[in-house]
Amino acid sequence: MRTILVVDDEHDILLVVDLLLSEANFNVVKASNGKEALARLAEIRPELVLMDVMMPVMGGLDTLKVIKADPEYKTIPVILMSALPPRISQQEYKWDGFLQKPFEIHELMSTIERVTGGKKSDEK
Amino acid sequence: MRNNLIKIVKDEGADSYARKLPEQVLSEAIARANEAERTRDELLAIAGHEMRTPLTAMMLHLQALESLASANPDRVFTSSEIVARVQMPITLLRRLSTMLDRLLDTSRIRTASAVLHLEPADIALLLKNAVTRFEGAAKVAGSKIELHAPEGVIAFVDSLGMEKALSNIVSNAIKFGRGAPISVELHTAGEYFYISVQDHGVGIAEANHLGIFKRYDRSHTLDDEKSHGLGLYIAQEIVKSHDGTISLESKLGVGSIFTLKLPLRKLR
Repeated sequence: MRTILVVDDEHDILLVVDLLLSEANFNVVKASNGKEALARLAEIRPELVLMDVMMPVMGGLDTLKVIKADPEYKTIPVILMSALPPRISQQEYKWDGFLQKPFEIHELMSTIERVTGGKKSDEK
Repeated sequence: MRNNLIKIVKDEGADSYARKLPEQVLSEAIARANEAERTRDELLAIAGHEMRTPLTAMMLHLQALESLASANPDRVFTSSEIVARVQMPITLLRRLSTMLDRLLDTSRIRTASAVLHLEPADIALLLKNAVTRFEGAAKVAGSKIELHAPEGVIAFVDSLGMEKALSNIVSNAIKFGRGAPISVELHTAGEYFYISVQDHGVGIAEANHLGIFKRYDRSHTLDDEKSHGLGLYIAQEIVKSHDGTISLESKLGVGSIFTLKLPLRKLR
């Protein structure tokens, strides 16, 4: 089963994204801030990271910088989620997808498909 | 902006302006109108950001329900299935409603604070009002609020704003006070008056002492407590607009003391 690491300090978002992606046959691993996400990355090898930008302890942009600077993790695609407009430089932060809140299911699913190279959730 | 400007000129009163040069009056009024506009824009930004997250969760949840029903047109859902599926959107709607109330409340106070309505106020009475308002909540939390405020401390403050700042700090002490007594004290020294609110609750780690006053900060939250990260930020903004400061002494597991330092008599 394909694993997605979902990172958000909002419990409601973690809960509903977990529900949706589990129903689409993904294995969802959750973290509530960037520090927790990096700890999870050391334990699992997700196919994708879906991460909020504004979080306490360690925010999404700082976490993204660590991921993209690490030779072991840098190829893992990262989709950012934010309530702010997508003015975060793709060139500087190297994010692979951007979802502006509030987004819809089809946007979430199509962005996941696009950044993972169009694979469907039941493909290995 | 023109309306703001006219309102400010009216609020300040004709006498004080008669003593100033027209250019100075205009320049001050424009600066303050700009400040009021900046405040409004900032509030809209907070509202936009804070509300998009529950809206996202609600949208995704309801769309998932719609997809489930569309994919199974003949399926009859049981009452418990329906309850389980609508529970989260209802909770989110309640959160949005509380958030909206709070932001509108904040908007009124912050717009007012950009054009302060300073008037002589009995600080002990303000404290009594703020404490009385939270007696019920304190009782539920198992805390008792002890107020030590000598009468006769009169200062020029915006009463509505100051009551709001005090309320936010007292409600914070109740939330994180672990049911222990809370002490609210007033004293004066030199040209200032000091209000301290002390709890014996969870405390705040030193690394978070500065961040606690920032917008959206949630480092001072309990697992079961949903904070919008605005209360202490709002309190600080109100106190700052009175040329005052809020300081914090706190230790994890021991408790916190928030101290407000404000000028006794100062006209802007």
